[in-house]
Amino acid sequence: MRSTWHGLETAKRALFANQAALNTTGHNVANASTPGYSRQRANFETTASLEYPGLSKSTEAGQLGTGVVVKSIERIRESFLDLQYRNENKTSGEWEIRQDTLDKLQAIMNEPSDTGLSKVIDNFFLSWQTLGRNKDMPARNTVKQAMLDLTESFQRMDAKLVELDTDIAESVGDKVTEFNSLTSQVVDLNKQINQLEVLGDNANDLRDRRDFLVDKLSKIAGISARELPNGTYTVSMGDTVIINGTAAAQQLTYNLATNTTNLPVTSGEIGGLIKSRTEYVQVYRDQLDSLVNGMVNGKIQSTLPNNYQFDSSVTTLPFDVILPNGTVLATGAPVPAGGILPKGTQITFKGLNELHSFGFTAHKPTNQAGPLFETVDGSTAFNARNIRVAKAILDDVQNIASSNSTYVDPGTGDTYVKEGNGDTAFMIGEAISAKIDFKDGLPPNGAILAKGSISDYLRASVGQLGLQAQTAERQVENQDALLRQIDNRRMSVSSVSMDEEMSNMIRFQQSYAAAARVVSTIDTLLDTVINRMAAH
Amino acid sequence: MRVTQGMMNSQLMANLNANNTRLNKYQDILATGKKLNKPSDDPVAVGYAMRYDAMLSRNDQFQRNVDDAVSHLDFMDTTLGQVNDILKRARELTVRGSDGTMSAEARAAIAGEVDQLYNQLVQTGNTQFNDRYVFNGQITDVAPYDPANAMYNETDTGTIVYMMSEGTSVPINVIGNAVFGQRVTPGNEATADNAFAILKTLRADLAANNQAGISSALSKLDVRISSVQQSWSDVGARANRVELLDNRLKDFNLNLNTLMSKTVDADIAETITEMKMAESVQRSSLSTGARIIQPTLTDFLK
Repeated sequence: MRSTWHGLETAKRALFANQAALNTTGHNVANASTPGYSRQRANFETTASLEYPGLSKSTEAGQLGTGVVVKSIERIRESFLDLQYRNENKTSGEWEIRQDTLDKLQAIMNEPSDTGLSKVIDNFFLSWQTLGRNKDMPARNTVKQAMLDLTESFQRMDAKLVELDTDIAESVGDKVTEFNSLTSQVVDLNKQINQLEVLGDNANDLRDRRDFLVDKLSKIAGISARELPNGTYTVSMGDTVIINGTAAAQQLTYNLATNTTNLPVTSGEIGGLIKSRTEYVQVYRDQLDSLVNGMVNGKIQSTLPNNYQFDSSVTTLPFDVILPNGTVLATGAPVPAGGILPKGTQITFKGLNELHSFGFTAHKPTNQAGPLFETVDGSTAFNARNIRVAKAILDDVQNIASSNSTYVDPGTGDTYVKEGNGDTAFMIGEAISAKIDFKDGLPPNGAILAKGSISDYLRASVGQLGLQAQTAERQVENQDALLRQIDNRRMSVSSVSMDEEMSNMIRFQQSYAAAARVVSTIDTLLDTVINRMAAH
Repeated sequence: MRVTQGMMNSQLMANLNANNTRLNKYQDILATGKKLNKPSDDPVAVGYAMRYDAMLSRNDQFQRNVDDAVSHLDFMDTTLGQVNDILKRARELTVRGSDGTMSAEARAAIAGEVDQLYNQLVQTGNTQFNDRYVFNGQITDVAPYDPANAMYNETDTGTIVYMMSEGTSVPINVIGNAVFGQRVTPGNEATADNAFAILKTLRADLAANNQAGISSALSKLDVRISSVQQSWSDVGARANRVELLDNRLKDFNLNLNTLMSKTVDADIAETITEMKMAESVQRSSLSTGARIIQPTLTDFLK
């Protein structure tokens, strides 16, 4: 048999339930702009109705409802969308970093422009053409200056590349620290959520925070999260488990020198940074070094603009030649008749250094010319860091050879250079379009072009950079669009709609008012029973 | 699908960002006048642009070589003309001097002029252009002819070439031996085909009143004059060739500049039109966005 206070109790339950719902609405409205917040919903459920079957059951009509209770406060979130989001986020993070690196590389390369490396190289070779015409001191000084410009440009570009590399390595360190901090926070949250949910509650806000942190983690390194039955997350990077429930997270460390992490990271921002160092910065450094070495040491085919007369003491060829009629003569073969190599003969020199030594200095008496470039550390392989203008040339520009022909002065018996001959200068000037062997036995093997002219090489390098940068731009755009789409779907499910909350608010408010009205009504009923039904 | 304020907000930001990016790109193009500002703008076109640039500066250098060669050959043209004049004057004097009615005194007077002609010839042989001796082959810092022994001097035979185009080198000098004659071996002065020897012998014959000697100078001079004229016309032919190369270089320069411009320069009219469109798109997205992100139910509940 139902109690007198039944109605009061039912109304009271309604008040409590609507109040809780209103509070939840208030919470949603307050957190409408909180990043990572999912809207919460108070789930109403009817309380157990009367009467239970039993011996003391009355004959009144049943079952009589007993009111409402908030069964749970639920967080509206679709975990599949989270999975999708994190999957795309890691690719987005990686390509953003790659695009950033490539943009910086484009700025360093500075092509096409009037101040880039290709212009400096152009000027260097053109100064030799001028020397071929005017074999005087101003022309020689111009050549020396052009040489200094060239070596300095190489050094500068390499220095900038090294700076970029250091920058990237430092960024990896920063990201790794951030990663470890985030994983330890996630472990903390795992513990808290576990404690709370064991008692039967939904740790809604803590879960939101944990998902937000895991989203951040997914951008830094390619991680995926899975929920265990006890409510904790297990977070893994590929096959490596980083977080397992409430145990301490595995720490990620980065070795700057070897550019590796202790646990393999293949995507995300850390993956992108590591790949930037090996696939971009190091490659372009190697390409620059190969260019320098090929230019100074690589096999170059140069054509004689004029007849060349060997000295009478020379009987075998010191280099490979191809005569104008097509005959190929190797090094060591006997010199052609008369010791003359005709105009149009192609000679294979070992780089500009050997080509320059083909000529004679402007001293009186003259000497065979020396190399154009030296290394600062004495090694035989040239690169962008160790290349210098030969000291002999810096000290005395007369050591710059323009002519490749000499005569013996009958008066003094000394050998003088034929000043009017500018063949060596012209041959060096033409070397900008001559084919050079960039890969043949030269370290390191970073050459982008095996055989081609210096202009071809630079173009290939810049072209590759342009293509890579263009691809990265497109990838970033695509990933942005994808992420936005997935995020939209997430927001469609989980974000707070002001309109919805407002109309809910009205609903709960009206229910509360109506329930209060019921209380008043029951109160008058009870008042009648208690106070008016008096025994005299 | 449920659409919330958050979604509309983020959509608006994404669209505005896209519009702004587009406008930024057009601004860049219009400010620099070039549609290629970095390699990623168009990697293939950048390759072409770099190639044209390199070819243009090479062309420029060749052009300078050609200009230098043209002035050099012009100078040679004038100089050889002078040599021709000197020898022609010598011929006139020879004709006069070989006249049977000439007296010894008259011949002595002519000898004086021949002397002057000889000195003039030596001086011409030692002409310099830009501080370089033009007749001594590649040894341009040493004067080829010694005034007293000019006929015994031999010039260097090296040709001076200039690069005038890819793989094309053209000789720009004239060898002294070809113009003035080969070196004379002592004892052969009287019969040698050497301008200095001829003039010196003529002078001696005039002073000595040797009619037979004077007459023999005539045929020697004729042979020498025709050799000089051969060298002279060769210079003219080379000058013509260089002029052809010059024209080709100028044409090439024009073509390259046109190609370069097509590859690198922006079509201003087209870019401005596109920018105007992008601008109007941006305006409409701004105004639409402003209208839809503001009102919520809250505004209408009392």
